[in-house]
Amino acid sequence: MMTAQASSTPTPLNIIIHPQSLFSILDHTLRRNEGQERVIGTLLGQRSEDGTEIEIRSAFAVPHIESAAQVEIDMEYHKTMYNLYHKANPKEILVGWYATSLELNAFSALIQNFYSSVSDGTYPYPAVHLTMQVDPSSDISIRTYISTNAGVLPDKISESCLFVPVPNELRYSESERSGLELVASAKNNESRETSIIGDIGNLEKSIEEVISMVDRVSAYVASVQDGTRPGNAAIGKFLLSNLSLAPKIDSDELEKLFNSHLQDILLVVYLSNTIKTQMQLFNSLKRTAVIS
Amino acid sequence: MAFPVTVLPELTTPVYSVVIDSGVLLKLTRHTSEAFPATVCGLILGLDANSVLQLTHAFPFPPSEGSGASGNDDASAPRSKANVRYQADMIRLLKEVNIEANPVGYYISSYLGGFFNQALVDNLVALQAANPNSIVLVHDVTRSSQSSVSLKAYRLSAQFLATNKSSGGKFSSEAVVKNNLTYVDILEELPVSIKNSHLGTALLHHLDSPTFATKGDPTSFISTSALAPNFDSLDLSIDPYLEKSVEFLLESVDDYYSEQGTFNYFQRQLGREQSKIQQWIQKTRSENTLRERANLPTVSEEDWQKHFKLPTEPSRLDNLLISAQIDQYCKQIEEYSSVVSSKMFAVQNSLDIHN
Repeated sequence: MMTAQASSTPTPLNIIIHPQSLFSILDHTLRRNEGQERVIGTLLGQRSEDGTEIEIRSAFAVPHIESAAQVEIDMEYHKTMYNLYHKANPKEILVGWYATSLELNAFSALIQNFYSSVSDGTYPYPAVHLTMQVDPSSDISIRTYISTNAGVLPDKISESCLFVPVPNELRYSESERSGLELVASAKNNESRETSIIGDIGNLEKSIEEVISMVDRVSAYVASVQDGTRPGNAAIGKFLLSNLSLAPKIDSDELEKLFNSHLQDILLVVYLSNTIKTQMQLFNSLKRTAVIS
Repeated sequence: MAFPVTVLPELTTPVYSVVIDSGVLLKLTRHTSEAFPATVCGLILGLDANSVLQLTHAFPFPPSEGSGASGNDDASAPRSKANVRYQADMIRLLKEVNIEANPVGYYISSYLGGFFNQALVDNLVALQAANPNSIVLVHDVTRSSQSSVSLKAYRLSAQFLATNKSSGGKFSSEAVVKNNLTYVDILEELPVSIKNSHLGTALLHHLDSPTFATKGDPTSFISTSALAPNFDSLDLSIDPYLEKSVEFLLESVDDYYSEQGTFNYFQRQLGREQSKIQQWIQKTRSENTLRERANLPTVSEEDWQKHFKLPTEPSRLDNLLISAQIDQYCKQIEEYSSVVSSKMFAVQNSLDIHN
């Protein structure tokens, strides 16, 4: 465990990423200008009370020009955009920046120093740097770092820093989960497109998945019983404990509860149907009244 | 489902469906569900081409000051002065990073489907005047947490716009009947589909792979992949949702009756005025015959307008909106109950087998 020193700023031990920010970064990559190899932008999010956990919630792009000799970032743009974003989401603050190539060079150090600076950076907390490799030929990998000073010469201190990797994980809330699922359902389609299915369609899909899972498990159990596959005691115990979770209820009680529940629902449906019919009746009566 | 053909005045080709970018969907759902239960809105940018409306970017509007008391301020946010400035600034900045600076609609969050109000109509009329293909995306937060994401795209129908124009925003009964406008026709729905970019698809596959599983107990068999299927929709309890829907439905019916009451009051007044006018006309007619005999100037019968003023007819728009709202609640209840009753019957069957 790290011993807390009175003068040191807390360093983040864990970084949580929301999937929406990743999609924003990808979108920005797609729209980059000709000849730009990597794009950079700002990360916004929240910091936990003690500073050990940083949450990255959204990101926006910042135009920048990079050549072999120098790098230029539009800082005005960053400031104005950050103010606009902050107005809409007062809880999100600046936590770092991202780049879409995995390499860390002197330019990264310069940009990192800008983002950690006193004036409008993340001082006194360290800025998080997220790199994401979006080269289509290889796997997408996401790495997060924070920087510490590793100055060798005092006049070159602004160009050098040591990037320390920090573990990251992806997290999302319940509401985002259904959105993410919907988006993910398109990932196996040729056209990368999917439409929004209604409640019944969703129910059907879930039931089909459960049925296929049950089929797989029963096939496995049957094959173990036949002796064609070696059984695994851990899996067996796990299945047994899960199957015994079905509650034991008196069947009469259950039937009564069940029927009353069903009746409630049917009553409400009947009510809404009558209201709807009455509205339609009113409507047509009104029209005939005006015409006649 | 057949979608009505809308005839647009200028050279814009009409759109028949909406395609949403995955990033936009995630941003939208996050914004609306975080602000729950307050209603919020934001602007959508995109392109309309080839009879398909593509939504490529969206940003939320800042909450207006003093909107803590009533949620209505947020609903009219797209047209408030501060937000128009915000919108212009935002679009200008986004243009620099090659994002299309073309507003094509706005999104709102709704609580159990209650979004039919005056603000919606005003916003859409303004937006569709600028771009006839503008839409409103309604995200129902409560329903999305129960089952699949509930996102619908609407736009004002041609009949509604024609009625609006012909009656100058007053919606008299004549204009409504002439344009064949019923409460069902106020909004027309457009099918929505979701599209991922290639990189997005790659990211989704990456998230699904076992290497990305979050830290968990390695001896457990529960999949901790980020995209593990969600079986909450198989849950059997529905009472809070249904209860609230019925409550809202009954409230809207009350609103409908009170609105009906004002219209009846107007009709009674109109009747009274007209009978008074008739009496006056009779009186002048008899007076005129007397005056002719006495060779005095006659009073014209048309002069009743100088003495009586007919009450103005109230706008029928409220009535239409409330009826559409009631219809919406009924539809929701039906959809939801159909799912629940199927689940109940399925469980009942399986229970009978074991009994």
